Amino acid sequence: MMSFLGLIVKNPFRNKTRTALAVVGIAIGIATIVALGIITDGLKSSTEETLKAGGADFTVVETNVSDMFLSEIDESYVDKIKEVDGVDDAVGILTAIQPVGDNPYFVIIGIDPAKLAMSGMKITNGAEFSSPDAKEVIIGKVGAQKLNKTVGDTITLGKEDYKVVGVFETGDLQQDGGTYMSLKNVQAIEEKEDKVTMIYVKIKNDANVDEITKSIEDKYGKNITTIASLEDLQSVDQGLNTIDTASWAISLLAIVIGGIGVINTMIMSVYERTREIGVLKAVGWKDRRILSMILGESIVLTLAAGVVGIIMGLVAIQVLLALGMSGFIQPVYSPNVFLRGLLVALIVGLIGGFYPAYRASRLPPTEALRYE
Amino acid sequence: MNDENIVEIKNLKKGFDKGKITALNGIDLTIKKGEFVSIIGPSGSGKSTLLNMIGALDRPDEGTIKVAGYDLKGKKDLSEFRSREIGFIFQLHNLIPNLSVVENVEIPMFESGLSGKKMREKALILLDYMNLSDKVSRKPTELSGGERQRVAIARSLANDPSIILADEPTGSLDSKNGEMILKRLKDLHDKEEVTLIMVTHDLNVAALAERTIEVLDGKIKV
Repeated sequence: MMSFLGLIVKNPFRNKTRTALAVVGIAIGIATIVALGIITDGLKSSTEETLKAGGADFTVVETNVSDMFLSEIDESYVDKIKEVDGVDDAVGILTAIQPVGDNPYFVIIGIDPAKLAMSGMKITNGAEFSSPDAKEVIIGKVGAQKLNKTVGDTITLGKEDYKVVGVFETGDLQQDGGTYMSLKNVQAIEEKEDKVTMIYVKIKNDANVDEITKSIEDKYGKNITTIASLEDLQSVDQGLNTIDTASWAISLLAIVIGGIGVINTMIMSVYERTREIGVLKAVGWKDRRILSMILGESIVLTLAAGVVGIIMGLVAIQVLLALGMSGFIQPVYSPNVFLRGLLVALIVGLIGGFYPAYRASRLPPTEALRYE
Repeated sequence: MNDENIVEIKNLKKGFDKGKITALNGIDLTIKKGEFVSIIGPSGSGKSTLLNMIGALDRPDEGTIKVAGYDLKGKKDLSEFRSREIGFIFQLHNLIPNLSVVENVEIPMFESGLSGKKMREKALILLDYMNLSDKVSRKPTELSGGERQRVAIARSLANDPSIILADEPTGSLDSKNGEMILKRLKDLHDKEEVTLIMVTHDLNVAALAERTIEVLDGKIKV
């Protein structure tokens, strides 16, 4: 028994080579969207974890900074924030990048040893560093593996050697790839005395985050700003916005390139089937049915490309991970990414299929039947 | 319209290439319901254009044309008319190559509102009528020329048309297969009382019809 839908699904596979080439062409665009989406979501989730590190309810950074990690604020704000009504505790963090061994981008994070708990880490081996002056570090699990360091070893940061006293894990790739050490030590290495990158703030149980962040911004808004969510971060941090914009730009490009590919494939298909379309008109098919058939075939083609693209995107991520990018990529497989891939495929099918479908539906039957 | 007349054409004119070519130049013709008419004439005489006008595949420039109660000059969407009233048989079978024989016969029924099951039942009956019961699952490429044209006849009958329009139905067949196809068409006309209008340039074929009309230079030769 043949249905109209069955016919639509069957038709694109009449010319298998052409369909396969078109599917692969569109699938590459979809794969890029999916792979980028998986990486971007990982980056967002990792940034969100940093924001919500440990016991912190929100983070304070410098106003008008293009990237959260480029923020620089006076350490004196830590005490000022502690004074704000409803704030339970606050700790200043200074993050920096130092070359270590083969890795030119080794992340170091300075924090008051007494407030290490607010970072939300878990010591998996050894102990925390003991005092602000001790030349000690704790190293993240991923960093330890990459540098092949463990408790008792030393690493050189700036001009000094530091003893590894513990190994920690946070679940956040950026932090787990680097070290924690005392704030004082990082300030000395970076020559940034009395400066911090950001302040983690913990509020009292009965306090309201919105009220506290508002009162901080009212008081010190000229120099510092609060980030309580990823949305807040995106309004402050241009880095994530740039990635988002790039991701959408690539999606748009995939739609345009894929759309042109679909138009080409479907026009060829309509052209070859001109006589057949004439017959369909002669046996009484309405223009609308012919339009639906060709448009449907275009959507079948691009949805197939969507599925192939998603698989290609997933394979690409696995290849990147296998090639040793696991230190930089923390993939997050959210259904939204796959839906976006399929949505782009659908849009490409609709846009690319419309013109050939319209053209087929408007073919004069006698001309179509005369076509050799 | 006279109840007896299924086709009524008055002063029908049709030109192509912005009027440079005159295909039909004032045709007057009536065809009775259930009649078997053949249209003859040399190449380029306008006989196929006339057939296309009756089948509403093309529109006239001037004159009136009424077929099975439909005013074909005034009506905007003619697909419903073609679906309900007309069965086309072309010189080349024009079957869809990726569909099976039975699926090809089902194609016109998509506009009829029949369920998939009913469509299949009807297509199988028509193929049985054409002695093709053993070929229903084959692809058109697996059939002989005569068999393909029999499938095309079955397809033309799918929506129980009141008129069958055949444009050189035996033109691409050898004489044996041609004879068989003509016999089928004649049977169809005799038993089902369907109106049959056939274009041919073969006088022997035309002689099978009850009436022969000769078209010359876009006019009916009297």
